[in-house]
Amino acid sequence: MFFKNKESRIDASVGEWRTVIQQHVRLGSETKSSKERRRKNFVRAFLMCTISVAAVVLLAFVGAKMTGDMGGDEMSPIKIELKTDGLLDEHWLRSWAGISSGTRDISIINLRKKLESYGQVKQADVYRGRGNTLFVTLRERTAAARIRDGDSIKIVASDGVLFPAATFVIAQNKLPFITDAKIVSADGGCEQIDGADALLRFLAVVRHDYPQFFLEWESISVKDLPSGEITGDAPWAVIRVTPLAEAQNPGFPKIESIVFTAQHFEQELAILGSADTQAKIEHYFAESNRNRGYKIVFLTNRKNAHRTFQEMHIIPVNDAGTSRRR
Amino acid sequence: MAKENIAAIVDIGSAETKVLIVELFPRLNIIGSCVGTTRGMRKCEILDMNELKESVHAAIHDAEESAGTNVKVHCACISLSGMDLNGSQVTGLTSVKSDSSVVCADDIATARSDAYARRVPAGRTIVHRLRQTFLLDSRVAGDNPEGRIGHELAYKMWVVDSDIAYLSELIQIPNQYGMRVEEVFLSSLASASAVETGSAVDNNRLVIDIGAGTSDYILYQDGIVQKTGVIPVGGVHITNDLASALRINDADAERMKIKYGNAVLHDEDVFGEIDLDSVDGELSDFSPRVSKFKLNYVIALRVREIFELIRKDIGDGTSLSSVFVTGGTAQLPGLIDVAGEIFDSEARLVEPTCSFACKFSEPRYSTVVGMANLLFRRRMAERRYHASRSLITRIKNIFLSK
Repeated sequence: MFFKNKESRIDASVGEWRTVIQQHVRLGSETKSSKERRRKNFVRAFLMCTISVAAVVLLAFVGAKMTGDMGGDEMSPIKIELKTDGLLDEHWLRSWAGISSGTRDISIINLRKKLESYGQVKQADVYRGRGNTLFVTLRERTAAARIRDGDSIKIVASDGVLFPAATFVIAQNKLPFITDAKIVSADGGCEQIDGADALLRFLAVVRHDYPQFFLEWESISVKDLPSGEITGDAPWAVIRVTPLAEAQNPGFPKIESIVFTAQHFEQELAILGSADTQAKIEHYFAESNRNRGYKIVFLTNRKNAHRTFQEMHIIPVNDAGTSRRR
Repeated sequence: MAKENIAAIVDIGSAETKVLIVELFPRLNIIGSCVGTTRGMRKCEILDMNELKESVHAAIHDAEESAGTNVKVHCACISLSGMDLNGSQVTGLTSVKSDSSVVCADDIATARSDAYARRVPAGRTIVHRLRQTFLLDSRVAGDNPEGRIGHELAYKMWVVDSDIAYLSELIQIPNQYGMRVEEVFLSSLASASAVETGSAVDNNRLVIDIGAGTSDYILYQDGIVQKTGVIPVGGVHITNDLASALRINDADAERMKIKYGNAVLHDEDVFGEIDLDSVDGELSDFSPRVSKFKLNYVIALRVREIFELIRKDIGDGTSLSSVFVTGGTAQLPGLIDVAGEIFDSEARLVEPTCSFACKFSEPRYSTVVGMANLLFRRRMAERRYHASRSLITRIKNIFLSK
């Protein structure tokens, strides 16, 4: 009893009514009130049992459903929901990531790494949903040019990363080739053009501001474009563009190449794109020898140190080194 | 076993059964109540067990209903009164063991255990052990005589015991309603708990609870219970006396007592007459009439008898600071004046002062409110005790008990 704990040596329960009288607690039915209470207790117990059973059944149902759904992650084959802002499709994704129609489980982290190792994929988000469905969202790179890598042709993205042209069919025949470029491996298992900053700037300007030129160029050579950053006056750093033969007027002499300086190509493109230049070229070609090939070069006027500008010169290719300037 | 937070407080009186359904924690709160008529009991003696059970169960049932359908009560407290109760003083003795005669903790424990070891007669069981005081060589030594010097240490305790059969019968009433009896409280102790003022002026007080069948009293000296007792006379006896003396039936006698009764005789009562059929006191020509003097004379005799018996019980020489009178019959006009005259002390009609029972602030609810109060205090003490028992103390106790 209570006092027994307080002083262990005193047994306060000796002779107390609690120890002497045995209580037999039961809900009898001798009186009307006890009958009523018994009935109410029965009803209450019945209701509680019913509610408990209903709750258990409900929980079991929900649990079974959830277990089924979760179990489906392991049992049913993977389904893919792909969203992309480019050209890649589920077929490519399955083949690249190695997800066959019977695959039931895959590491999401490894899948994302695998997807981002493909040059065309700039960013990949992957998460697993209910019913063993993989939700994949891709951000793809934009194609800027093409390049030959051995026997294969690759696409140069706007940030210099290379990826196979097979998945960018739409631009395969419309983009100029980059030639004389050195291909190096980049982080994440992709490839890119070594020191392509000037080239990429050049491509971006041409694609956005002078698309009419871009579509008429066959190749862009970076043979005389250094891979590092160009500092100071470097007229020798040039980008050589070869126009498409079929894009030229068959009645005029052929322009074999256009040489842009790496430092002033924007100004040179502006000169080339102006109406005066077009008229000048047509006028010049109308008088010149139509059987000869020409190249267009831009030279910096250094007469006035405070006012530099480019001048366009059309030079016969055969007379290179002794060409007559107009 | 975890104690229930909701309990039924059942006060089975000779005339009324009062039931409170109380919630103990976080604070004591009455959530349901019922006052029902008691049948099958007279002067705290069971005449018809089935009838008594029926009436008590009905009262508990109604109280439960008033508490709400969601409330399930499984434990109960009952009050105990009647002539089957007996109170006696028990003294535990020990000699102070140390050579220097300084009382140590061991001496105190020995004296207490000696008092606790005193047995009650066969067929009786202890209901309460009320701590009184320590005496060191017959001098009062207070609650803790440790460190004091003396040769013989005595521990005094007031023990209230009851007849086992009677208490078992009472306990089985809630038991058969599906309730376990957790506590049994002495009626007078409960009433005193409900009306205590906490003032040092009232340390030597006598609390009298005049019910229908019995009058319970409890005497405090210096704030400590000195004596408890039950007088088998109550309000019903006054009614019976009136019925016999005035030759009227019990119902009329009860009505006359409540409406016109007074325990003090006044000169004008000699000429007063009461019309038995009158509602508002007006006399009619053909109705039976009773003398007001005779009515009050009979009441006064019986009331004086009650107080005289109590005075005789507690002893004529007992000095009292105040007399608290409570219970259903205490509301009889003039009763307090008679008490003051007989006990030669300040007498007061008191009602429950507990804040949780503001709706039950009538003298007739003193016992049931006091029971709720006592139960709450006991549970609080248990909680505090269990909370204070750290792991280290428990381990220590294990070793000490070996």
